[in-house]
This record gives sequence, structure tokens and C-alpha cells, in this order.
Amino acid sequence: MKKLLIMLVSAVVLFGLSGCTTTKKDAPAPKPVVKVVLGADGIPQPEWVYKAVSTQDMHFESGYGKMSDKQISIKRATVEAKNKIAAWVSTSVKEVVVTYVNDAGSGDNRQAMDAMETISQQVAEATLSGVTTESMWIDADGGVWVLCSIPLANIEKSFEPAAEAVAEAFVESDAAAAANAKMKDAFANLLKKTDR
Amino acid sequence: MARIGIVLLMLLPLLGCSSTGGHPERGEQSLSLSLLEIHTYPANVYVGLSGPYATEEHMVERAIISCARSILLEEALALDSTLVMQDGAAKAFAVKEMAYYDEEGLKGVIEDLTLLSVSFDSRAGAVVLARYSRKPETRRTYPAGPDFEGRPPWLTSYPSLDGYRFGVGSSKAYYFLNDSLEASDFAAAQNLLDLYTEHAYSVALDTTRDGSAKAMDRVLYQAQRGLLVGFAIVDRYYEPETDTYWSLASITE
Repeated sequence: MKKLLIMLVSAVVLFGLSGCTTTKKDAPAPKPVVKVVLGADGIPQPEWVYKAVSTQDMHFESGYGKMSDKQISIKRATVEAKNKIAAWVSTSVKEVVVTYVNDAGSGDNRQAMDAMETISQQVAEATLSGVTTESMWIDADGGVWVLCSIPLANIEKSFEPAAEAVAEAFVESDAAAAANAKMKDAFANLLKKTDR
Repeated sequence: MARIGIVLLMLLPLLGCSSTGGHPERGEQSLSLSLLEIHTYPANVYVGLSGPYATEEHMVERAIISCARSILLEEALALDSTLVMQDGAAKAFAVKEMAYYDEEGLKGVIEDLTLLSVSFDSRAGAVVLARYSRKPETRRTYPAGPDFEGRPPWLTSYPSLDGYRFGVGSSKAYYFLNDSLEASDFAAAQNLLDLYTEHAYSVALDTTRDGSAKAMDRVLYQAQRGLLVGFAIVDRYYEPETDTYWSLASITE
């Protein structure tokens, strides 16, 4: 009798659980409508026009230009993309420089900060080597979109002389040398960040 | 330069064998361009044109120099470009572009040319086809494909070929055909520099004004330079609707 009772309770529990798990079959959720934007010559808009592209070893920026003709529009678009790359490099370098100044305990040293600022600008100048236009798309209005890339290795390579210059400016202490090494690491890591 | 003249004089007697003789009537621009087509020839055959001059001898001389120059451009072509742009209340977009090549080797190149044909056209002047003996007889990099609705496909999208990069340039028609083509070829070279930049310096100054007269201004300066190797014009097209010349250029990667 006791066994029968246990079996009955178990059956009720199982039925109860199965009641929780059975679901009414809902109608399939409507798929989001993806609006396909067609450009000139019926070519669909590529994803990189509205979404950032990122990889471990390359940095990408897009640019847009709409001028009197296609050739000038391409020029304008590539100029915009290269300028974005330069701005990104410049910002990245400044970010590292601030960290460095804090680490070295020289945050109040305005003269030192000015020196850093100068160096970071030089780096932005030197790092734009090997910029390649990876892709191009022309919208229905004749505006040109380009996707440009630069290898991160090129930026790091260009950063080396500037890092040496910083090291020379702060050779007085071991702490400064260590901070300099940290700055180099930080710069390399910063470039590798996938989120921008 | 005197030696170049001597070499040219030596080549002139060959004209009798190869010239088509007589000036054709003034034809369509595309007909003149067809004289420059060398797709069916190996890659060591070059074409040069002179533009109209007073005498046939002068035209052939200029065409041979043009032919030799295209060989020198292929060996090395240095380009630089500076641009200033302003957005905001005042708008500006100004570009200065330059190209450089080594002219020192011109005499030696002319010495190694073998004339294949010389023809004359009222717009192109003399058109010379010549084989360059220092280069092996290989196939062309980009044999122009079939036209799409009468237009070459590279007007719509850049060709893709392993080991090569392509640029497209255009120019409004100038009075002389050779000037139009030179401008169009130059634009194609600069397009290559825009698309594949060896070195660029870019600086922008953004200014935002708050208060009663809110405004945003941006001034951008960009300079770039590069050295093109293997530069060659692989195809041309004349667009009658817009009176525009187009050039497709390639370089080795």
C-alpha cells in the first residue's frame, strides 16, 4: 500500500512537471525585416557602411564623399577614411601618454605634458603607412563609400622612435624606465582592443 | 639629348616600311583610341603617340619619346599629393598633385626599341608601336574583357587580379588628344595613390563655437606620397555622352 502511495505521488509529481514543460506551440516569431539598400548598379549596401569592422591585426575606418564626379568623390572618401585612422592613432597614443605620465608621477609637470603632446602628434604623422582601400560602394545618389585598413604592426613600428624619445626625456629614474616599458606594452595592447 | 636625336634619326628610315601612309579623315575619338590598343601584343610592346605636329618626322620623333617614357614610368613613378579641405560656413577642396620619373634612361630605352608599326591620325598624330628588347615577351596582365553595354566593366568596378592593383582615372577632353590621355593617365596614377597609400600625413582642426553664433568648422590637411612600380595603362575608353576620357592603370603589388 505504501509502495502504491509512493508510485501515485510520483506519478502526480511527474504529471505536474510535465504540465510545466509542455508549451502551447506559438506561431513562429516574425523574422525582423532586413531592408536591403541598393546602390548604384543595383549592388546591395555592404555591412561595413553602417557597422564598424575590426580584426586583431588591422584597423579599419570608412569614409564617405560626394563631389562633382566619381573620381573626386573617391578621393574625398579616402581622405575622410585616412583622417579617421589618423585621429584614432592620435587618440590611442594620447591615452597611453596620460597613463604614462600618471605612472611616472609627472602629472603636475606641465612642461613634460607639453613634450608628450608634441610627441603624440609626431606619432600620428608617422603611423599612416600602408593604408589600403579594401572595399568601395557607391550609393544610389552617387556618393562613394570606402573602407580603408591599416596594419597595426605598421602603427606599432612607427611608434618606436617616439617611445625612444619619451624614454630619453625621462631617463633620470628606474621608475621612469619601467613606466616607459609599461607605456609600450599599453600601446600595443590598446591597438589590439577589438572594441573602439 | 643630341644622342637621342641621332638614335631617332636612325629609326626614321624605317618609317617607309611601316607607315600606313596618308592622313585619314578626322574620325571619332574612339577611332583614334583604337589605334592605341595593344591587347593582342605581348607585354614588351609599347605604344606612343605624338599629337599633331607640322611634319611627320617631328610627330614620329615625339611618338617614340612618348613610347620610351611609358617604359620609364613603368620602371618607377613617384607621386605626391597634398590636399586642403574646409567644411563649415566656408567650403573648400583644393588638391595639388605631382608625378616624377627618371628621365636619365631615355636614350638607353630608345636604343633598345624596335619599331613594329607607325600610323598617322589627324587627332593622335603619329602612333608608334615598338618592342622593348630588355623586357621578356610575356602575356599582358589584364587583357581587357568584353564590354558591357558598350562600356568597359572596369568603369563600374575595379578589376581583381592577384599580384596587381588597379586604378581608374578620367579627364575632360582637351584640345589635343595626347593632352587628354596624359591627364586621364595621371588621374589613374593618383587614384592608385589614393587607394593604396604608402605614406600619409593627416591633420584636422575642428572648431566648435557656442553662444549666439553657433558654428562648426573643420580644416583638414593631408599629404601623401608613394612610389609606383610596374605602372602601365592597360585600357582606355572615351565616353561620348560626357566627352570624357578614361584610363585603367595597373601596378605590381
